[in-house]
Amino acid sequence: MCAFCFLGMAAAIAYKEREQGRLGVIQFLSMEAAAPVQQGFDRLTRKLVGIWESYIMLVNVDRENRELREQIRRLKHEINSYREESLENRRLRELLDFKRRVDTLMIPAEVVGRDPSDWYRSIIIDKGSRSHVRKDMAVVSYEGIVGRVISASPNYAKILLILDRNSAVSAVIQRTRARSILSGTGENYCLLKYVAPSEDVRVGDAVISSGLNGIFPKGLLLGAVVRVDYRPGELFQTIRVAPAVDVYTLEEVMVLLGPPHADPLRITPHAPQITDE
Amino acid sequence: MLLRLPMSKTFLFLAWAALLFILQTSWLGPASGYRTIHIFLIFVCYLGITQEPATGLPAALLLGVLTDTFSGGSFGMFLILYLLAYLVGFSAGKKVYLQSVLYRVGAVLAMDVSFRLLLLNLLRVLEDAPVTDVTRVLPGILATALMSPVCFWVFDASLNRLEMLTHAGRAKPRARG
Repeated sequence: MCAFCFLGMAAAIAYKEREQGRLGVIQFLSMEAAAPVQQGFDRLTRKLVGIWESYIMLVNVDRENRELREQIRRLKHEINSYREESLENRRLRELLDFKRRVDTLMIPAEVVGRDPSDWYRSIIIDKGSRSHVRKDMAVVSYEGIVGRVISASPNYAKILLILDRNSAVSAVIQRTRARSILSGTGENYCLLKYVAPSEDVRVGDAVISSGLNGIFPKGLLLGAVVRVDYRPGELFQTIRVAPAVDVYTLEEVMVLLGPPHADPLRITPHAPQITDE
Repeated sequence: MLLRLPMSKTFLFLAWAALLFILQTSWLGPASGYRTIHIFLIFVCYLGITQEPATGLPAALLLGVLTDTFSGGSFGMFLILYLLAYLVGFSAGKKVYLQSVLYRVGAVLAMDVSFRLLLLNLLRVLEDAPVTDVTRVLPGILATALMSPVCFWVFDASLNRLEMLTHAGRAKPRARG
C-alpha cells in the first residue's frame, strides 16, 4: 500500500515537473552520466567518419587527379595537333594563293625524303610519273623556287634543289634587271654568276627567275643578295644569294606541269587551269 | 624457326643499315653541309674491320644503293665507294691489329679522309665540281672520328646481344613428341 502511495506520489511529481519543463532526478542522473560518454563516442565517431571521408576523398582526389592529368595530356596533344593543322592550313592556303597567282598547271606534293649524303642537295616528293611529273619540271613553293625534277618513278620524284652544285637557274636582279645565272654551291647559299662590275648590286636585292631556260616561269623569287664582293681586276662580281625557300624545313611543294608562260606577278584569282590531285 | 648465327648477323646489319639511313635522312642529315657526322662510313668501317663478307658486305651495299637512290648524284657512285671502303677495312682488319678503340678511331679517321678526298676528286671529274677547300671538310672528319667509338660500342653491343640470344635459343632442349 505504501509502495503504491510512493509510486503515485512520484508519478504526480514527475508529471508536475514535466509540466514545468524540468528533468526528473532519474533522468537528470542518467543524462549527466550518459551524456559525456555519448559526447565522447560522438566525437570519436565524427573523427572516424572524418578520417574515412578524408581517405575516401583522397582516393577520389587521387583518381580525379589522374583523370585530370590524363585529360590535360590529351588536351595538350589535341592543342598540338590543332596547332600543327593550323600551320599546315596556313601553308596550304599560301600554296593555294600561289597557285592562283601562277597561271600554269601544277600539282601539290609532299616532301618525303632528303638527301642522305653531304655532297648533294636533293629531296624526294610523293608524286611521280603517274601524276604526270617528268624530268626538268619546276618545283616551287609559295616562297619561291625550290628546284627541278631530275628523275621520276611512278610514285616518287627526285628534286635537285637550287642549292646543289649542279643547279643553275637563269636569273634577273629585280631592281636593276641585270641578267645572270644563279648557281648552287652545295652550301647554304647560292652564287650569282657573270654579273659585270658595272652592275649596281646591293645587299637585299631580290633575285627572280628570268624565264629564259624554259623550266622556271618568269618572275618567281629565287632569293635575296646577302653579300657582294668585287676585287679589282676580276671580270665579275662575287655575289652570294640566300635562297628564298628554306629547303631544310620544306614540307609541301608544287610541281609545275604546264608551260611556264605566265607572269606570276599578275594576279589571276580565278584561274581556270588550276587542277588538284 | 631460329636462324643460323651468320644469317642472323646479316639481317642484324641490314636492319642497322636501314635504321642509320633513316637517322641520316631525318635527324643527322639536313642543314649541316660538309660538317655532318659520316655515320654510314663508321658503320661500313665497322663491318669491314669486324665482319666477313657474307655478314658485312650486304649491309654496306644496301647503304650504297640507298644513298645513290636518294641523293642527286650519278647512280652507282656511293655503291662503289662503300664497297671500296668495306674492302679496305676488311683487308686492313686482317693485317693490322684494330681491336683497340684508339686504333679504330685512327682507322675511321684515315678512311674518312681518303673517302672524302676520293669523292671530291670524283665529283670534280664526273660533274666538273669546283675544288673544295679541304679545311671545310675537317670538322666533319673530326666529328666522325670522335663519334666512332660510341658507334662501335653500340654495334658491338647489339651483336653481343644477338649472339647471346642465338646461343640461348640453341641451348634449349628439344621438345619430345
